[in-house]
Amino acid sequence: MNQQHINWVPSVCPFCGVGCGFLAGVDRGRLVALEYLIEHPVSEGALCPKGNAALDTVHHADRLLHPLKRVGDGFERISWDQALQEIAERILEIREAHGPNALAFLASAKCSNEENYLMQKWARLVGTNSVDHCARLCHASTVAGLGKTLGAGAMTNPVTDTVNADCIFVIGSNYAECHPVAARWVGDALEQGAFLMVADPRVTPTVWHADLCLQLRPGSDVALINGMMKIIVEAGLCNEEFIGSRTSGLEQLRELLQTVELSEVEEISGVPADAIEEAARHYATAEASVIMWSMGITQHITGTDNVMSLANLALITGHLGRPGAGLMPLRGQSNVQGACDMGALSNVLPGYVAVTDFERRRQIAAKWGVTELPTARGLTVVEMMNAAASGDLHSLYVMGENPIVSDPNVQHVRQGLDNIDLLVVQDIFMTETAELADYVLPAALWAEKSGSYTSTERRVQWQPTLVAPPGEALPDWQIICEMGRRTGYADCFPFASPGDILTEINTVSPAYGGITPERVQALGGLIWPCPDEDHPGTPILHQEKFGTEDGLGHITPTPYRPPAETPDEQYPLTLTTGRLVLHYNSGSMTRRTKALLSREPRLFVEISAADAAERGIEDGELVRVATCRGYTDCVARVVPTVAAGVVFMPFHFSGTNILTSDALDPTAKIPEYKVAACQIEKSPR
Amino acid sequence: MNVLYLDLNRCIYCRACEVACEREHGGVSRIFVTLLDWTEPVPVACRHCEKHPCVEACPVDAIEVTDEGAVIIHTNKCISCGLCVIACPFGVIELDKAGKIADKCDLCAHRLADGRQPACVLTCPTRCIQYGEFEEIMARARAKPGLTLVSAVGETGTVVTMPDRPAGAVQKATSGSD
Repeated sequence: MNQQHINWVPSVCPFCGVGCGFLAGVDRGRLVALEYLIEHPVSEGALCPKGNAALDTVHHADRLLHPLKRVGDGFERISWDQALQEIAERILEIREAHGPNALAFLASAKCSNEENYLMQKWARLVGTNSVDHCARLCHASTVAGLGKTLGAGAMTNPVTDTVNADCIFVIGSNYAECHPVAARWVGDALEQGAFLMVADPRVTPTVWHADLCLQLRPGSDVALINGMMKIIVEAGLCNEEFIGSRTSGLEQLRELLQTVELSEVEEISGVPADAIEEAARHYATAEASVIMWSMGITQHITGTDNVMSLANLALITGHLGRPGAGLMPLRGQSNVQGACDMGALSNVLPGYVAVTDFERRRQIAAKWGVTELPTARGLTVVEMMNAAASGDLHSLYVMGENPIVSDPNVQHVRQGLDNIDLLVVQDIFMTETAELADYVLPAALWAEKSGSYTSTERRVQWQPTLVAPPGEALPDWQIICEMGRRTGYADCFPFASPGDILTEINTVSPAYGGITPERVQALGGLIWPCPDEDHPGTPILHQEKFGTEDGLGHITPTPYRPPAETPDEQYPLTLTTGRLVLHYNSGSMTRRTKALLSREPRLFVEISAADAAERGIEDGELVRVATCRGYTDCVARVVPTVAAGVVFMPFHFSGTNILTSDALDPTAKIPEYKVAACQIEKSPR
Repeated sequence: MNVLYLDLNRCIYCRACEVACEREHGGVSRIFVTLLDWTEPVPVACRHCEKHPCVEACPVDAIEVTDEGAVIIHTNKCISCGLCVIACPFGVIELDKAGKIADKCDLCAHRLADGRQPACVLTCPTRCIQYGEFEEIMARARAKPGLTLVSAVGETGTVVTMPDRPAGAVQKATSGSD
């Protein structure tokens, strides 16, 4: 390849939330090469296998090229004008017939801030707060739990700040597979002598490097953390000064901890008491301790409780607001933090303004040029599917999500989507969900449009346009602008570019006030809160005070509650689910990438040797995994890395979420993907 | 003299190096990460040995040691005899799919030529694979706590360290919970 003609453009990796950068090489309108961007502040050039394959989906032969309309069992090609007009008319008809709450919208953590901002703006102008996205399925409990305790539902310290920690407590995160570049900074901390302890039901690659492993039972996190706090409080290892000046609620926590018995914690969690004690002492007595978590904490009916427990642990020991001391929920998508910040959630407007907050809601309405916005909390992702199945939801507009693979209990989701009057899917590929749609709209992907993306550490980075979209595909922001105009809100969508939209965001969301189109384009962007144009950004939150109204950290005692499903005679094993390093979410991108699919080609279930032997199952054999919701056939991997009684399946392939539970956390409405009672037998096929 | 350095303690079996190598070399990776006992990953590629049995074995002098210490196969000279494949102590030389031409890691010669480090080095999320001056690498390797120096092959070849731990991670992890 002649490299002389290549124009190298700094770009943001489109996969997980770490926010790595690379150089995309453009030659005559095509993306032809990728090079490592050593100057990038987070990744220093490093990329995981998915990042290395980021270009493979861009000019992919499967890309959607034209708007499609369902005709019988198939689709026919239609013009953009016809598609937009018919969809707009049907949405207005449904609103007329059934009211605005018969409509729902799914935004996307794969799309830019500007696009998510527009999607929630359009939904609310049309008259409903039923706009949500996959954050509901991954870190909704983090947003809720940290919002309540610290007043800001986001990671407190940058990923790179891990090097400043003396003790790193990882619970329910397998960052070595899910956020590999985070392992760079943890590794550096370990070489400087930091202590790494990992709580996980499985011996994941993250555990390989741990000094202490707490192999807990799925769903026992609150019990474990309460046990740790009991040891800390009783041993006098609390940070009294921090508690006195910066927190409230310790007394209520003390009362709860008096009812906690370590022997019970041991029994519930399966972790021996001396290991819990060792973990508690390391965490409390280190100069600076950090807690990292992901879906192992959040995807439970106690997800919010789990997060609040971790906040409690940090608050009583004062491990917040300093370099190396913080709470680090590692987020899974390139813009899931941003989609939340933009208010693509059914309970909050941009800037986390509650939809029920009369005054601030009115302020946003005024900025949008309307007098009022819908006041009732809308439907969340899983509630949308329930409402679709029960006939209360008539229209669902999906931007870049694939619920038929990624939502829990997908047979129920399928019933809902089959039942609905209007399903519109706007995506880059014909996903499993798009196959069910009435209209399929071809969208541009990250390289074919510009916009800002907010990484897990609140870092807002700009992705410039690199190449033109294929066929007639359009950037999501253009499609939504057009839908907004055609549904009667032309004045609210005057935007000619993503920069115009970001300029409006600057005025609506205070934390993004100084993240202007001009400033955000610098390499590495800016970290919010960045309230004005002179502000340098805020890498570490809560240094002086917390984001709560009184500025204090609210210690919020959380008693242990068991998972929604416990093993029984019919379903004696506990199924837990998670990610693989070579795949990404519903797999619509990575299962189309040869370099990744060839290394991890099919769905499997990890099972312990004891459980396999009991069922006469050999390694590599086809088995049937069943829960009360359905069954899936896949290959058995007999491994020493799961404890007896626990089995694991990755969720990147169709099939896993036939099995998972849609029981919800009462606050965050996140489903309990991480615990399902199941049985495994040899496949009858 | 520049050398490769593998710090096995930092490998997370993400296989980014494989995908990067494959991307850099027309769809064929020359580095392979093997997972032993489900918990011990080992990236294996040409070690660019100081004593290079492949060079000795080649009957047509198709394998050259460059001034930078890289052991390079000149594929246009290869006669597909396969002797280097047999000679290699690490098993990292393979004949291509057609069974014709011997192929292995060339240390990304095309990248080194314009001042860029090998792809596997730059992409490695954890700094498990490094490349640099021998003395500097050795100083780095010696400074790491709890690591055993497995190989440091003269002033060429590959420096390797591995974790100095008595039992595998699985035992360490599960011994407590039984």
